[in-house]
Amino acid sequence: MEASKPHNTLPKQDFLKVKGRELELDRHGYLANYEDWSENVALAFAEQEDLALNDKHWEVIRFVREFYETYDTSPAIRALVKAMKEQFGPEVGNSRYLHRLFPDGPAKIATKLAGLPKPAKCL
Amino acid sequence: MSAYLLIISTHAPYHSSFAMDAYEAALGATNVGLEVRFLFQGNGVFQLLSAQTPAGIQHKNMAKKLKALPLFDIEDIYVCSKSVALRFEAISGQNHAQNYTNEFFEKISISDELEAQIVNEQELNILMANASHILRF
Repeated sequence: MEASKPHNTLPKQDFLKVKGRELELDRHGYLANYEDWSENVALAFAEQEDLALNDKHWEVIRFVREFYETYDTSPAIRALVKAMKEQFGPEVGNSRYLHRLFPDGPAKIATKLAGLPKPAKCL
Repeated sequence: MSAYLLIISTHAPYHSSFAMDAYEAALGATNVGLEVRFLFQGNGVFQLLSAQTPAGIQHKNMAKKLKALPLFDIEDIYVCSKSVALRFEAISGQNHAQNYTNEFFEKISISDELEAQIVNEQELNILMANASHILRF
């Protein structure tokens, strides 16, 4: 899936600058330390991704952070959809809804904005 | 009965990668559309204890990870009652451990959010006999 997309053109960086602080990133460009997260981190990543965040985005971002705290796992898409369906019902817990919010991949982008590690790839 | 892959997890978490390997094999198998059932046997039952604090050794919490199994469509989860009973006996020093299986679960408060069926030896045999494949970790 990812191979068909153009490579990220952003310069590779090891730190994310947020309010004068430099936060360490991992090799995927995700936040290295989950505890470093704040809403400003999400906003900084969103800017990188060219994404204007609304309440629906924040709902997902907060949800994946809770998911991570509960399961010690960064949610891949299938688990994310199923978990959101259980909590919010089928209107929100479906992949079309989530793809509209995060066109470059809901699990991939939402976890990044939420300061989690990149979800492990499916086989 | 539909064909299913039975994954048997027999190691305690953290001291080796067996527990994580079993877990990841299970998720991987569901990703390619296989029906997976998951059995905890031997020291594998220790993975279910909820009081795990592996942050100090920089590991993810296995009990927390296991709670996500149903989100990957793994809902048939089994625990070998004999394995639990033997370990309860060892910990508590009590004999006739079969009777204490339930007590073990309550006392050591196994992750209550993961629904697992406790199976006896006979049920275990049926579970294994009906599996199309078995992977033991």
